Amino acid sequence: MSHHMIELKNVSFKYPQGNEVIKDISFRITHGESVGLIGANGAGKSTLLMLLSGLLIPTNGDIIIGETKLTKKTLKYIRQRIGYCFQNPDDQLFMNTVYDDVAFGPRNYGIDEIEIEKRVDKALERVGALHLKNKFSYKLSGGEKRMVSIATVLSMEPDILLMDEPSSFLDPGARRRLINILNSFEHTKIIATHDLDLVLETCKRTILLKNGKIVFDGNTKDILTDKKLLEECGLELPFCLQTIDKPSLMFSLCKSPVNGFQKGISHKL
Amino acid sequence: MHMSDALISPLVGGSMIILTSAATNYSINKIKYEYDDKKIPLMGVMGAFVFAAQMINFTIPGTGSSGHLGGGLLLSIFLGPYAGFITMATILLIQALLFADGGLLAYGCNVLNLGFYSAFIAYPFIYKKIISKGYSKKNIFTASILSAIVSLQLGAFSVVLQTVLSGKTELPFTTFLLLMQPIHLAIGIVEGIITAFVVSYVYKVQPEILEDKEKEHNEKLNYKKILVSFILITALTGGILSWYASSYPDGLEWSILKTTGSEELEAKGAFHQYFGKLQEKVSIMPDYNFKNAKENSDGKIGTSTSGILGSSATLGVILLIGYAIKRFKKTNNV
Amino acid sequence: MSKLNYSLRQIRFLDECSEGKSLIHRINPIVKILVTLIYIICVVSLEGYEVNRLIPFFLYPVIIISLSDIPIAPLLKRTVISLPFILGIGFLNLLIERNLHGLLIFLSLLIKSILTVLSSLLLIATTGMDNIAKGLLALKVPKIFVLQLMMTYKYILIFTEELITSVNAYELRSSEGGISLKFAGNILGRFFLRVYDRAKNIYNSMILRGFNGEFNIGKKISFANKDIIFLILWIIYFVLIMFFDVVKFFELILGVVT
Repeated sequence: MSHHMIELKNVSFKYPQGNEVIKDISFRITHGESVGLIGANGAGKSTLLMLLSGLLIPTNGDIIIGETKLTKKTLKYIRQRIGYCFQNPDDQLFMNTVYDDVAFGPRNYGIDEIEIEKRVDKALERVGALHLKNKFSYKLSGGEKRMVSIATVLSMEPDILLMDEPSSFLDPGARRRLINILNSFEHTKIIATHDLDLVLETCKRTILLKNGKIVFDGNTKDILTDKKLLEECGLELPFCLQTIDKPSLMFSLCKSPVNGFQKGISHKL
Repeated sequence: MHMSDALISPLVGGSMIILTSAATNYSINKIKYEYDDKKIPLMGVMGAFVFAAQMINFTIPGTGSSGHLGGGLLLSIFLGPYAGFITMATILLIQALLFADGGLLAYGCNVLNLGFYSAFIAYPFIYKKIISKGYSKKNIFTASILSAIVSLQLGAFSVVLQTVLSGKTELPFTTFLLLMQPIHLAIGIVEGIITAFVVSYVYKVQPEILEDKEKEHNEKLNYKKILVSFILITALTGGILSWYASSYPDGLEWSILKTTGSEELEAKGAFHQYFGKLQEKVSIMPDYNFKNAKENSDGKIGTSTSGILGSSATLGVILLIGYAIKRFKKTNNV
Repeated sequence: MSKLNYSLRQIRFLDECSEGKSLIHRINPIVKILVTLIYIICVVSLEGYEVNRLIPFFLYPVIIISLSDIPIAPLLKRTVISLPFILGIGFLNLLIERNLHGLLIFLSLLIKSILTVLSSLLLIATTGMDNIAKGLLALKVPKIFVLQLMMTYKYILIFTEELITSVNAYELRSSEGGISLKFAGNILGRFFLRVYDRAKNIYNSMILRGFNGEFNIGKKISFANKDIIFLILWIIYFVLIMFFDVVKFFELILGVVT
């Protein structure tokens, strides 16, 4: 089970002609943890996710996934362990049918088609999209595309999920389903987003980035109620905490994230 | 201008498909072994980009007319000739399937006319030569417009050649040529201008896209090899064509005779020719042949009405069959 | 603009058609590709004046349409749209050859166009791009080419929609109708850059799922008896009407009756 773990040791990254976008970051995420990654545009969220998936190679420092250090040699193995969901599901659904898209990953690893079909069914069922199996992917709604794009990485049976803005392109209903599904996953998760309410409901731990550095790493509850720090980093309080005077008091209402949050919403309305 | 199935003979269509598949295969191997696989999704989306871009009509100020992008040249500029050619080939196949723009048998003709010349003639020998003097607005425009004109002129010439070689019409070579080339001059200029606008926009905003391409293609291309194999294949096709012409005088040669204005056929009259042919073909029914020959002498009206009658009867039966199937399906709920 | 919208509708229409479950839909795509090609070859191998011989070829589209329940009107509309070029050539030919022969050529070009266009449209409408791609793979078309075909097809819809938005935004701000050539760079150039960035993301999402330049398609297409029968019956019919003049035969019958 140790391969569900992520560890960064003094990781820095710099684009060839650019300045440093990730500056000396270290953290450790253990098995089954769900971590929110927040920060203003350009804070380095996406770059960090790309580093974790090996799309970019750090200029300094080490990334360890499970017990394996991420290098060019271990890339293939590590990518099997990691599922990366892109911000725009259309970037991930490049085949014509849902089935072919979900099967694309396993097929590249030479798995036979009977096993692939089982995996596709399982992955689609997991996100409640089994009925879409034979649909053309362009015919899906925004919410359906999101679920299918998650299924395309689930079919690889990863241990770790990296999500870039999973709630973009979603209507409130679809967003709610997404939250429920995310909470049902036992995977280690890192969710990079501007949707702080989503973080509130799906992540116990949050990492706040500013200009490529970690400003805060700890309890979601502590950071998302810290109005001053959030505003310094170009963010603001989650919507459900904005309408009342004492956010910390409100937060106690949403202790059990999923149910409590809905109360928060109804209160607001 | 897409070549369509109705204008070509199987021989011309088939040899063009063989010729262009050879070029496609060669290009695929080039990409496989010489480039990284990053190109694959780029080709896919660029194909879709050109496909969509082709559908925008730009009005040409002061003329009241409009034109659109063809894209062959643009693809070579951004993807290099090999990937550009393959991408154009996939666009043409999708067009043939979805819109029946150019037919399936004419597919090879279209790949040659609209894809090959821009990628392997105009791009390396004109565009690159001019651009190698440096990117400037003037160079981009001269290079794009000249290359587009040349590839469209070659394409138009091919359309004429393919049509005449197929011999499905009686259009004389020169008349058709004189009609096609000037039209395609105008189309070529518009194509060149649109291409130049897009290239200079990209150069202004993200020059590295074009500069990277330059480096990438410089040493990796072997145009001589391509040109030599193209000439070889053309010669081979020509050989097959002339062999065919000599062994089936009434196929190809007939059409060539016709287009060069052979007296013999004029004298004989196309009308007689028609019946001569028909009689040969219905010789399974000698009875009828006899009857037909008699009718023939009655003149035009009699025979053409009888042709119409038989045709309508046949069509009627076909439609009845279709109707019966529909009815049967409805009543049996299949 | 209207062309963009039209194309979207056409692609969606054909996709919807291909989701049908009729007998024709269930025929092996390789067989359908082959039958269509043989059909087109037979049709175009007839000479310009052999109008009568073309008529029996109508049986193929009629049977496919009636067996597959493909709506006929959009097919015919597309067929008509594809005609002007060929009619132009036919008319030009008629100008040069003002006699019955010219007229016959005109007619045969027209009929050949209708037949070839209909048969290609029916192929995609009853098979779908996806299955055609699988068929092409089975026919040994290179994998990279087929992957290109599928990706291009997939993104055509997305890009066409995006382009419609751009063009709308332009037209809302412009006084005259249409888009001036001057703005080609702005509209298409910007669009190109978006597409270029897009390709990077797609590539990333492909390699993260183990893509290594090879393209693997799943299930093999299986042949059933009905596929073989379909193929053989049509070949027999095409050969028959190539060598036997059905129209004359009907005339003969009509002649006997009257």
